[in-house]
Amino acid sequence: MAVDELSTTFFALADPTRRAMLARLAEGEATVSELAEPFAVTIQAVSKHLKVLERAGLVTRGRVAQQRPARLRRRPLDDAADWLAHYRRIFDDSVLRLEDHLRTLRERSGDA
Amino acid sequence: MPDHEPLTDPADGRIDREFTIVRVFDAPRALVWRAWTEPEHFAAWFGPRGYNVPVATIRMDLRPGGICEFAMVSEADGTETRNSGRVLDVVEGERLVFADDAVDLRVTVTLADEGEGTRMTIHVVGRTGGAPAYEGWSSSVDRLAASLATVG
Repeated sequence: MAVDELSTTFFALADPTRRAMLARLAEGEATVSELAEPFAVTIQAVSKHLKVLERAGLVTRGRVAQQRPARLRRRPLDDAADWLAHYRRIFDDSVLRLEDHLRTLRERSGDA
Repeated sequence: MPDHEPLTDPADGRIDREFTIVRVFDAPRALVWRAWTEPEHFAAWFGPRGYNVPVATIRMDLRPGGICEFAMVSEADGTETRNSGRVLDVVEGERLVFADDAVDLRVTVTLADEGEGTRMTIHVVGRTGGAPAYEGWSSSVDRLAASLATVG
């Protein structure tokens, strides 16, 4: 997962209403009006929140006419919860490459 | 190794995450330092597998408050990921500390002589909840992910 994608995920998760919507979707798909029900917010506001979640890949929308029920996508959430593992991979790979690079430099200076 | 174990920061009680990588190289400390601090060297090794760091994207201003930038380019599709770090501390040949404010990450690189070689320690701390954009996501996301794991 790219760092930019993580940023998008974090931004999407930064809002308490959006997190509550995700928790609701964890129980099963829901329409916009169903999602709006427990919150003191307008349908339009929920639609906006859904768009942010969709952009972050956390939610997909169904194709049923008018309704377009929202469905949770777990993957980005798992990645975000484990975001430091992403950086660990970058550094682990880099250190191996650094070892190779240093060996190459040493061999080169040895030849000279 | 305290890997991925959540720690409580005594300063503010926020939950931190960290990991440490230690490696001993058969190379003098000065050379390892150059590998970190000279763009043409840095480009030769930094980045995850499948990514390159073009020298032209690297900018290094190695003094406290200085900005270091580079891009990681995917070999597969050319996607570019820009990284920017703010230098917090630099001790020539020994220590380099920088922070990535975008994700609230602090990286400390320490070099020490070990026989003829060099011991390099990379310590990375993620300060969840510190960056304003991510305020509140940390423990909530962990809880959410945990609860979803039981649902899913």
